[in-house]
Amino acid sequence: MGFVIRNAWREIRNNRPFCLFYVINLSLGLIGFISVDSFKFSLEDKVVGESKQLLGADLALRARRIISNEELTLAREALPQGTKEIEAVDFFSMVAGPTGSSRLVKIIAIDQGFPFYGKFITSLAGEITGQDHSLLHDKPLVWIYPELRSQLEIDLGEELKIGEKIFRVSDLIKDETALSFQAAELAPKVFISTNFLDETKLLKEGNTAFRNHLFLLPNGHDSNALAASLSNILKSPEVRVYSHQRVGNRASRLLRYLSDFLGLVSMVALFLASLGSGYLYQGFVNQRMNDVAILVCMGSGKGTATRTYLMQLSILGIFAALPTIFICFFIIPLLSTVLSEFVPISLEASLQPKSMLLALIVAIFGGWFLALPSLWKIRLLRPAELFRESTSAGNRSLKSSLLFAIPGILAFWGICLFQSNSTKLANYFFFSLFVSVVVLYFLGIAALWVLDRFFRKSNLNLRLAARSLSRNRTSTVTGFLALGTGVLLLNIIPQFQYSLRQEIGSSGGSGKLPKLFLFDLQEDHLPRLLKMLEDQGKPLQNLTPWVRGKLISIKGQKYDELRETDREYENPRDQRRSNFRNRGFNLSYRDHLLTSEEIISGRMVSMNYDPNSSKPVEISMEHKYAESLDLSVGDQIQIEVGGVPINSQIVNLRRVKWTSFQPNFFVQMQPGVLEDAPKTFVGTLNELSDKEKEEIQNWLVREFPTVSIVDVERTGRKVLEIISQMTWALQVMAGLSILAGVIVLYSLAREKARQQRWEINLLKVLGASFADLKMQVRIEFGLLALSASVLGIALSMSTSYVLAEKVFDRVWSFHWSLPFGIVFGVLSMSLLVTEFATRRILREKPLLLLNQNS
Amino acid sequence: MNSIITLNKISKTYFQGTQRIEVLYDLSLVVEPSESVAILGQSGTGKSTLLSILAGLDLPDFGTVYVDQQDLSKLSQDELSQFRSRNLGIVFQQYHLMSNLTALENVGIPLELQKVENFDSEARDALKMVGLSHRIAHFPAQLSGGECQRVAIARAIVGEPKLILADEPSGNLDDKTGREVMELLFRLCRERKQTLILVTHNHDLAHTCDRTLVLKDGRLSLKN
Repeated sequence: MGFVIRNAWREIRNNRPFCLFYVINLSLGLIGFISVDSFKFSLEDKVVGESKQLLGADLALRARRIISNEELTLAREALPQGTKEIEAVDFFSMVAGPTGSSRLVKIIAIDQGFPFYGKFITSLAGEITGQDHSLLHDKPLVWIYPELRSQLEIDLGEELKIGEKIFRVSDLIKDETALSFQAAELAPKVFISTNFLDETKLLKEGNTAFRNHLFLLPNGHDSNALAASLSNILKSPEVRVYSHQRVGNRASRLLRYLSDFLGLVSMVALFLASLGSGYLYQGFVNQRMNDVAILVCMGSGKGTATRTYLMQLSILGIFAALPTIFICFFIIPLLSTVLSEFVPISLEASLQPKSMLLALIVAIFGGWFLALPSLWKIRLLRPAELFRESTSAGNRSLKSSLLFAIPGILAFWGICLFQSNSTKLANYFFFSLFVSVVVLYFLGIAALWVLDRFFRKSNLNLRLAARSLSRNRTSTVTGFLALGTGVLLLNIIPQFQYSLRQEIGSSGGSGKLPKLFLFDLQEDHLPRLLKMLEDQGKPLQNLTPWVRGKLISIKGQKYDELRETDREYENPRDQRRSNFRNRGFNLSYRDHLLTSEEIISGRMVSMNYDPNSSKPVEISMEHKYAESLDLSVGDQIQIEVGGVPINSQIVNLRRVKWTSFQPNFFVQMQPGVLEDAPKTFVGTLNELSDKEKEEIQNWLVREFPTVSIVDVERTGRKVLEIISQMTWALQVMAGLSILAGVIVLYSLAREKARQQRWEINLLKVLGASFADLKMQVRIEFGLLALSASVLGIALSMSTSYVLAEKVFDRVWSFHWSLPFGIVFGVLSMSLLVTEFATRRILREKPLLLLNQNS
Repeated sequence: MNSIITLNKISKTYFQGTQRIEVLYDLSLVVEPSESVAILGQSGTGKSTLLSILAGLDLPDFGTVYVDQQDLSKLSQDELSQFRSRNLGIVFQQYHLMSNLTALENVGIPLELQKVENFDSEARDALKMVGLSHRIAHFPAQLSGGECQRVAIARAIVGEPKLILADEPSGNLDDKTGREVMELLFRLCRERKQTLILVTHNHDLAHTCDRTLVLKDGRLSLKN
């Protein structure tokens, strides 16, 4: 063992440039991977630890309607004796400040004792728990989030109008976590007591308020098991049962999806770094083959030689893990700061010991896997060749090299599965990457064939450069893959961001979006509202009825039989399906399509339903909603509206552009059926200046306190802010990939120059100048970088276009300047890097080499 | 006296595609300890194959090979490695020094493989013997051809093996340097009573050995 360690160390000491690049390369690949792993671990740890605070209870019932006394009695009987209960109601509404300014807020009306777990941290009173008696329940007081101070021009002690009741602001909330059923809120929260809720007169029939019954269990009871049994007891799909664990899971879901995605992007950097390290190591071991043969002649076994290289890889792996761990110490807190908005708890992520260990394991064993094809050559070595005049004792076999790459590929697949919570996503990512690499490889080979022929009759420099590229396939295609994949990643993410920005219109975009989106419009208020708006010259547009329905049966099967899916899913697609299947849904009726809709199969619904007909009612269904319920054109469903079952048949599937902010619904029924059903209305106000928007909003809140208004522009800005933060994190990971790609390119250029040293010097002897050779290298690597980055851009454009078509409701705009910037940047960087990598060998005196080889 | 090498009717055949090439045929040889034997032969007559078999890097198809009373065919690969490190020193025509090791480290390798404690000082002594004590920290690329071959000789003799196999040690050197290197090799082998098998094209050099054999048609014959 002593000899193995000594020899391995000597190999490192005497091959410093190789070792340095190997270590930098692997470190770059590991940084993203380890940061995301540590971040995910911190997130899970925090969410598991604080899930009770996120719900504010052990268990909760939640429904978008009043939970009936029968249902509550059933639930109470199923819960253990000594269980405590409180109620909270939450809903969106407009509120008005003392100057008449109004905003959409989330109102949470709470009972004394709320929350069972966790606390409010306020400006004046400090920490307030559920057990603390607060004046909130004795007087019409309100606690507000600080951002409302400026938005409503309101301060402590001033009056806030909620519906028809005037409240006084008694404190500002710095932090609270209860009732965190989702990752982020679109509107600031306002807390009042349930004692004064009725006086606001906001909760009328059709209003979308959530009723929450929170339970504190006696010690020693399993919330998850009780939640499962309550779900079975309460038959109505509208009443959902939440354990605190489920709420923790929901609250962190968005961030988990994001960190999963980040993790997979970081895998690309790891893949590129592995590609570079593998290439570097292959070159290194090929160089060392004669030395190994000599070692064997001196009496060393092939096993000893192999162990030497494994030891060397292990030492280098440790060296690569150390800077990774050091850099991650800084990156992880930064990541948690940037992503803190995606989770309702304060997240102080830090580097976990488990992740440090993972860095070491991946760096060491990853190196072993990468080296496997190269090290196998040692087994095939024929030291007796040293007695012959051939200079190499190595043995090359592409087939065996590929065969021994399989464990490395499988290990990478394993890491993908480990990195992502979703097996499906990990598999999808791995196979997409695998297929892309194979396709890019063959595209590269074909391009090289064309290149060789295309430049066959060009000037000498071009000809030599093209020949050098086409006859060193492995290195050329490796560089092509590394740069192409990096560029693809770097361009695709901002491309999406740009498209969304264009769509939402915050950067001088289409401006087709409505300015205000009005909902909760009561039917009895409607004639007066419409007239008054008309009189002001601001007619309400896209007025659409909003009816609440629930599924009774699907294709003849009772809906209750499909309810087993009421749980949280790791896969976003499954979660969406579950959400669609378990919820009551909103529907409407009309005989025409909006500009944001398009029928993708079937025909338009008929104009008017004949009540004497025995035919089912015709409906149009949004295609993703239909997909989640496994429905297609011609299928029948039964819907209950206001207690009346309606048999309906799907006559078309629609694609809806949800980003249009027009009143769209999953299900549109033909006219003549729902006209008498209980309903509210939604509508939009378009083409308003900022001042008009502010005035009309304040006027509406004053005249119609039950109306809720979404400022579309402000919401769009908020969405874009969130997307910007996501994009930033993703771009950092993509940047790591590009950096890894550049290091790969440097390694390639260096290795190629070393391999062609004899040829380069021969050219010098034959009369080529330093400038000629430099030009040849520039052309060679310039062509490589240009073709790789153009292909990367083309692939990212087409991928983003296809994704936009299929997933993101056709939100796609071409961003001109970014791709040009990236191509220019990558090209310049590649030329610079190549210049540095080859300079020394190009400047060598040819005689020196001839003497060395004589 | 026990012989150091006994080759008994060895044969070795290679296939190039479907063509059968009989390199060694029924070849026998006995070499006594401390003897120096030159083997002359044209290119392609099987000199390298013979050296590979003597070094235990290759095995004959037929016949037996005894080196220092040890039947090499009976040894496993690991045992052959150990045997080589203790009993053989090899000097190649193209030096074959490990390019990333210094002269001192190259010479020390055989001792390290034998787990010799003070390998460093013994390697220094060996380099001193070949007149390169001032070049110990140099890498092969920084040495001249003659110096590289001296390092290779130092590496071959440092473990005091009983048998030195030398494959055209002066083949890559100019006449003067080649002569100096060969004189050094002969002197060291004589002083240390080591057996030397020298493969060469050079008849003058061959005659310096105790015995000169010619390899032709797969067999060895004594040169008059």
